[in-house]
Amino acid sequence: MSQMISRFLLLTAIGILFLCGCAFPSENVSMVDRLRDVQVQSAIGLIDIVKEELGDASCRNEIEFQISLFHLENSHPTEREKITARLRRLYPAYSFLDREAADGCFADSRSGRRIVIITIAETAVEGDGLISCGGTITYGSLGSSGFTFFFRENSGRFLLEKIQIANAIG
Amino acid sequence: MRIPPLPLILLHLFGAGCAATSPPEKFLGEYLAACKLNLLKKSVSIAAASGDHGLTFRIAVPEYNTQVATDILEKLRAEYPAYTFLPADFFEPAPGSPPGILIRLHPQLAIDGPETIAFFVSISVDSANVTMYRMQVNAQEEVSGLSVWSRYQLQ
Repeated sequence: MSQMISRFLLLTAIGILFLCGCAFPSENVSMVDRLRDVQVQSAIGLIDIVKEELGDASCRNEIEFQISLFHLENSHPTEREKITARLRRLYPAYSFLDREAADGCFADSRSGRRIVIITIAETAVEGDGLISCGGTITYGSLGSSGFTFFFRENSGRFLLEKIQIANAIG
Repeated sequence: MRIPPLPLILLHLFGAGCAATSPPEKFLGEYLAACKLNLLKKSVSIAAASGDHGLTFRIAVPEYNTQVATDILEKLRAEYPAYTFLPADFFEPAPGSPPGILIRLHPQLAIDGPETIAFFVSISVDSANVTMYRMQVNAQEEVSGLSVWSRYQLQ
């Protein structure tokens, strides 16, 4: 009798444990979070290009970065703020503008710094786990440069595979 | 035969429970491609419902990788065997060809909420007047919202 009870208890314990596993929330990153991650990674790529071209000291002292999203809406503040906040944490020594600069305005009267606009553009599906994201650096009167970043997705993380120069507007 | 220790059995059981309920992982690209297909299906149904304008659709999608664009067109052909789907590089009538319905999925997209992405689709049934829609997709790749964004004329 006691053997039957112990077997029953063991089976019940096994069942409860299996159900616990079923109920345990799996760590799934949403597609929106992944898309934002691609955009942030592209912005990091663009900022690193500016750093390479103008130098770290210039980026720290003379420049204010403005993040712009290439949406059909003129601005998408919540998304821009989220991406800017992540970049601020990654580049604490750099300045980031909280707002969108007025069209054609590349010198901020408040800080006296030159504004460099980092525009995150379209995302395209390249197949085989590859995603591309276009981006532009606008240096004001010095012109703009366009780049396409290719990322390979691996377990929800995006690894930069290659960068293509899309265009250079003098 | 040696029986594995009890903690190992329990760990495997817990893992089996987790695996039983975890959805299979999907690439972001697969998700976006599925969303785009559903957006185009919605656009085809809108265009087809707007009158008898022929059964030829010219589809412009932003994928530079032609295989991705071809796959999307193939799926549309399988879904609507009575219609003709042709790829389009530009959102304008092809010179010398019979008129068809133009559909352009714009490359711009906007994160709209924790699980919502907004896309923009232009449709022209008469190759002259264009209605641009803002369409939202949800986490299940379904079109969950639709509004007219603008109306304009092709040059």
